[in-house]
Order: sequence, then structure tokens, then C-alpha cells
Amino acid sequence: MIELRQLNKSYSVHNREFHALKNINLHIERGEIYGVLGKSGAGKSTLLRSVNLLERPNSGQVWVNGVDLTTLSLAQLREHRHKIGVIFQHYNLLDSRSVFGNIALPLEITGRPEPEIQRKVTELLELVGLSDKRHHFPAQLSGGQKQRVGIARALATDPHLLLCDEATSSLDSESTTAVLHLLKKINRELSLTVLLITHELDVVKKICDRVGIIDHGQLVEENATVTIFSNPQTKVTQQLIQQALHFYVPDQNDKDSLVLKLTFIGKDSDEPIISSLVKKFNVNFNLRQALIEKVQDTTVGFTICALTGEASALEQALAYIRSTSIKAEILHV
Amino acid sequence: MYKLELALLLKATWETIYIVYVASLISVIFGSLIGTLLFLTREKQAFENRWLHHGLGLLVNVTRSIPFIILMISIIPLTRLLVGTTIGSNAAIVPLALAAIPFYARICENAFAEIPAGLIETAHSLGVTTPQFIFKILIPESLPALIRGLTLTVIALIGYSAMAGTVGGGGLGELAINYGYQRFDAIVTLETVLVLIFIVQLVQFAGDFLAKRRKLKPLVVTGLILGLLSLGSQIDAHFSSQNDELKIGITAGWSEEVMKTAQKIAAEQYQLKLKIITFNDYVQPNTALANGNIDGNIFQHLPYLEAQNKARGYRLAPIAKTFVYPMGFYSRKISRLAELKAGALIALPNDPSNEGRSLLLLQKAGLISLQPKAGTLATLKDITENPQHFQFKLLDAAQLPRVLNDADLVALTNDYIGAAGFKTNQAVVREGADSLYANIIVVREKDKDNPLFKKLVAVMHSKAVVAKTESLFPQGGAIQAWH
Repeated sequence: MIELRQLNKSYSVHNREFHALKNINLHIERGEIYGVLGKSGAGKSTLLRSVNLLERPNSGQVWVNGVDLTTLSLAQLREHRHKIGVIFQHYNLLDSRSVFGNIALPLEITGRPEPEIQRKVTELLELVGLSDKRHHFPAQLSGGQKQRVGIARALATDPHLLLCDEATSSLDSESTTAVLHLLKKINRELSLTVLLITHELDVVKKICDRVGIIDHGQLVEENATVTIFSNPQTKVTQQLIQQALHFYVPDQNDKDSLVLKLTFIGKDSDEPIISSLVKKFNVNFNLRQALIEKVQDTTVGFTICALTGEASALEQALAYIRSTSIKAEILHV
Repeated sequence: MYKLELALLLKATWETIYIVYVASLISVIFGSLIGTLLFLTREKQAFENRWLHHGLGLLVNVTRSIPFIILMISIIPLTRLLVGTTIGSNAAIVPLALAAIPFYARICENAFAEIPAGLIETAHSLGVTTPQFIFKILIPESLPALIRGLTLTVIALIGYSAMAGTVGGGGLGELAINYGYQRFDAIVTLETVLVLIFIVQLVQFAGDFLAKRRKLKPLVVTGLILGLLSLGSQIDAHFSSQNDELKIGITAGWSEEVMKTAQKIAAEQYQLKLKIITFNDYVQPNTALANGNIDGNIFQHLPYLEAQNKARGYRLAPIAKTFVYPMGFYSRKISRLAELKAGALIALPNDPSNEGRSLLLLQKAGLISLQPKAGTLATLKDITENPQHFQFKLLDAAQLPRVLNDADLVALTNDYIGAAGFKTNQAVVREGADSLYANIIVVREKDKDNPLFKKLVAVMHSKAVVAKTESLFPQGGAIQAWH
């Protein structure tokens, strides 16, 4: 659906070259929800805006639905933009138009006849659950409602791709959940490809099939969401996840003990592994931290624990853990 | 207070509304065009173009820096080219619009610049064309700011329109300046200022209301109503002389009686309705005529009209002479000119107009010669030959009848002949029918050929009017000047 090839973008800020994007290669499948995660200033926004060429890259190709957008004329590009919906962090609704008018705008721009606009907007209002707000103005809506109007507007021209620019970053947790739920629903029901950028791990965790981590303009890591969570490869990713989960190695005196970080994925978490350890190897077990996260539909559990006991027993216990699918990381011996 | 006051005030108010309305309309049309172009040529906008942007910006700034009064005077040739005249409401519109266009252009540009960058980006992500961008995003989103800016512009124009009054632009400004400022009439000044305050308040209130409502419809409706009203006032002014009624300005006094006869003759013999407007001074009859508040006046002679046309830029023209009310030289010492001795004392009026008139009469009688260039404003200094060494004494006109026992020859205007105990035909020397100082019927230059005025002339020359005038000025006090 989307393929970015060797994308480069640099700005000159106060006569100094700033590389916003460095050799980005990205491939997103049709029907996928792909999240780009990164700190602010990492280049997420530039990346997203390159996809509909709001930001023109210095070099590289932007293939969307089989067309390299960088080769198109302005008029052709306009046609293609009609098929790429965008939602924004700050909603960017027109204050001068009602909810109806805002959703109707893309349809007016593409010159649809009035009855079609009426029908389509009514349909979309139902989809985003705002049928009763049809004649309200943006000033009368909550953040979550505004974003749902934004989504309806983005969907008005039946796009095959939806770009989400920090779509939930201005919302409270309840609205965030509702909006993400809606995005997931749209993705499934309309088989719409979604590219979202965010600095919130929560968003990625809840709906993304795959995640790319961007840092200093480079795509440093990319994988299925569960894998990124359970087995982050790069330091940047590990940091991001740790910060987001508030999962830190406790600063406690664990002398003479083996401190382990255990990661359970999916069914692993169902097994009574701790009690087995205690029973089988006669080791003592101290729980330092534990966390269960739902990553999309998969449960991922993290545990930090300190084992004490005879050295041989500890060794056997570790070997046992490693024989299962549970991932064990030694933090301290 | 004169009778016309309320009518003048209403008329001036309408003129102001008309001037401001048309000037605002033109400013909005051209101002928003230029403002949009200024915005679209900005960095990162659809027509990004540094040179065009800065060039246009410079042009706007230059026009805005010129003080209005100077702009108004310096574009007089352009005004004449566009509307054919430099006097009146339409002429006032040209400099007003020219001053307001760059003002409104900046207001538009700033209003557009206030639109969040995100919204503009959103528009482009929706794939808008530039016209769609302008009409669906730019204008609707900045509408409150555009309306507030329009309010600002209209109010500035009301202020400027008052200034345009100084050069005959019509409207409340001209009324305040001609009647209030120049004639120290505090009441008229106060009235015009009150009306202006009322209009400004109304505009501000309407502007605030519309900006808050974000609705264009009431604005357009208000605009249309105002447009029709002001157009109506123009049409009214245009056709007021077209029906069979003429408003004729005269000065208070004996003229009122003559005009009663004239009214009767006009109605009975010429199917012409004359409405007589009486003024108490010699300035207002011409101002009112130039303003279109009256259609003609009968009170002045040609030298006075020419001086007024020159001083005030009026375009008033004489269409016929009526009577000469002759100035004459009278004496209690001699009865014929031949009796006048060398070195005799001659008393003359001291106001410039009558001094010249009396000197011209002496020249005509062959007593002195004058510098030809001096014309009707000749003074004692313009005497080039005085072979009999007459002595001259300049005195206040009202003082002249009192020196008849001391001076050998005294110049008396019509008003003082009776007071001095003379009859006109007793004058030693007096003006004849060919006098330059015959009274004239004056109309606006463009109305010169209006057939209604031919009727008016016929009325004024009719036997009844002549008889009435001669009965008021017996023994040659009024000489028919048109034969």
C-alpha cells in the first residue's frame, strides 16, 4: 500500500543543515495498522507528511497504491490526496462550519452532488456516533467528539489510506480509548490501511499490527507490535518501552540473590511458573515488580524477581526457565 | 436659523451614506483582491512569490503613508478622468476608495494570516484547488476578522468623508465646514457631529453583531438595503430638477415680494411651480445651489459669482440678466457733472467690491483712468490718470449718506439712495442697462439648457414681474438689463 524508498529530507535552520529524515525505507501492507513511534523531534511528523507530500522529500520515492507521488503534477497530486485521509492532533476543524459542514467539505471539494453529500455525511455521522451533533459547531464539542468529526471528514471521500498525526495526543484517556477503538473498527470494517505516528506507546500497544521506531530521522527498528514489546532490540526502543511502562529495576540490596526479569507472552502467562520453581528447586522467591500488558489481543507479562537459595539450585532453576518459552534476562547476580 | 436646515442636514447625511457606501464597496472589492494576492504570494502559500509579495506590499505601504488630504489633492486628475468632475459626491468617492483599498488589503492579509497553519495544511491534504481554498477555507474562516476589519474601514471612511468636504466632496463634512466652521455656526457643527457619532455607533454595533454571528447574509442584506437607499438618494438628487418644480434661492427683503409675483405668473402662464427659498446672507444661496439643494438663485451679479466660483470651485453659470440696481454718484452741491470743479472731494465705499464698482463708474464717466488689469477689484492705487486732481475718500457704505454736505460727489448703492433722500433719477452719474453689475439668474452649469429655466427666464422678464420690480424701485431704481 505504502512504500517509502530512500527518503531523505533536510532543512536549513539558521544556516545549519538539519536532517529530518535519513534514508527511510518503509513498507506498509494493505489493511495494516502501522505505528511509527518516536520521541518528539525524531522525525515522525515529517515522515507522515511525506506520505501525501505535504512535505516534499529532497530525494526518494513515495509509492502509494502503486503510484510514485513524487512524479505527479500538482493537479494529479490533488486527485491522489482525495484518496488519502488525514486526521490531526488538533483536529483542524473549520470553526465556520457545523459538524455536517466539516464532514461535507471534502465531498464539496471533489464536487459530489448535494443528495450524495447528504447521504454520505449522514452515514458517516452514524459511523462515528455523532448523529445527534449534526448541527453543532466545533466550539460546542469536546476533544473526543471533535476528533471523531475529524475521522468522519477523513473518511468522507472513501480513502484507501488513513494518516493519523498524533491523533489522540490531545485527548484524555477515555476519549483516547474511544477514538482508538473507532480506528480499529474502521480498519476492520472498511479494510482501510492506517499509518499513525505517536509518541505514546499505549496507542501502539492497543491497535498497531506493526511498529517502526524512529530516532534522529532514522528508522532504527521495525517489528510486530508484540515482538517490539517483549523483545526490543535497540537501546532506543528499550528505553521507550521502559519509560512508558514505568518498569524499572528496583534499587534494592539483593546481595547473594539472582535477580531476573521474566517476560511472558500469550499463553506463557497462564502457566504457574513461579510456584513450580519454588516447589521443584527449593529456591526462595521475592517479587520485586510485576506488570501485565495487553498488546493488541496478546497478553504480555513482565516480572522482576529475586531468587535466593543454593547456587546449584539457582542454576537449575534458571535452566528450567530457559527451557520454557519464557524469556529470562539476568539483571544481577 | 434658516428654513433649509433640516433638509440640508438630511441631504448631507444621505450624501455621506452614499459616499461611504460606494467607497466601502469599491475598497472591499479591490482590497480583498489585493489582500488575497498578498497572502497567497507569501512564503509557503499557493502562489509563493517574493518579488510580487514585496512589490505589492511596498505599493500598499506607500499609498497608506500619504496623508489623506494630500492624496485627495494629488489625484485630482485621476478623479476628473474617472468621474468627470472633482466636485461633489462622486468625486469624493475616488480618493476615499483609493485610500481605503490598501487599508482593507492589509486587513484581509492579516485576517488570512491569523488562520492556523494546521488548517491550511488540512485544506491542502484534502486536495483543494486555489479557488476552493479561497472561497471554502480562507474567507469563511476569517469572516469575523474580515467583518471587524470592514467595520474599521467604514468608520475610517466616514471620518475621511468629512475631510473630503473641504474640497466640495459633499456630505456632512461639507455641511459642517461651510455652515459650521466658516460661518461660526456652532449649532450646525454640533448637529453634524451628532449625526456622525450616531452613524459611527450604528456601524460599530452592526459590525460587532455580524462578526459575532459569523453570518454573511445579514451583511449582504444590509449592504443591499443601504445600496438601494443611497442609490435612491442619488436618483432623487438627479431627478429633483426634472419635475416641473424649481427651487429658487433669494435673499430676504424686497426680492421676496418680486418672487411672489413671479410665482403667480409661473403657475398661471407657464405651468411652472416655483418654490422660493429665502436666505439671510450672500454665501449660502450659492453653496445650496452647488449642493443641489436648490435649483437656481437670483440675488447676485456676475463679478460676485465669478469670485465665488473661483474661491469655492463651484460650477455655477448665469443664464440671464434681470435688473440693474444702479450705483450712482449723488450730490447736494452740483446737479450736473460739468459743474464738478477740479480738486473736488469724492466719497467712495470702502469694501473692495463696491470700491471697484464705483471707480469703474467714474472711469466710464470719463473722470479718471484705471489700470485695465485691475478689473472689478480696482482700488485707488489703480488710478492711472486723474487730470482734474480729484481727492478721494473711502468710507463705510452706511456712512456715505452722512457726508453729502461735506463731499462734492458721493457714491451710493441702491440700498442707501432712499435713506439719503434722493431718487435714482436725481443721480449726477449712474450705471445703465449695460452695467456689469446687473443681477443674474444662476444655475448649475450642467442645468444651463434645461427648458424649465427658459420658462423661469421668461417669467422673470414678464410684464408683471417688471411692473412689480419697478413699483418697488421707482424712477429708474431698477433698469431692465436684458434688452
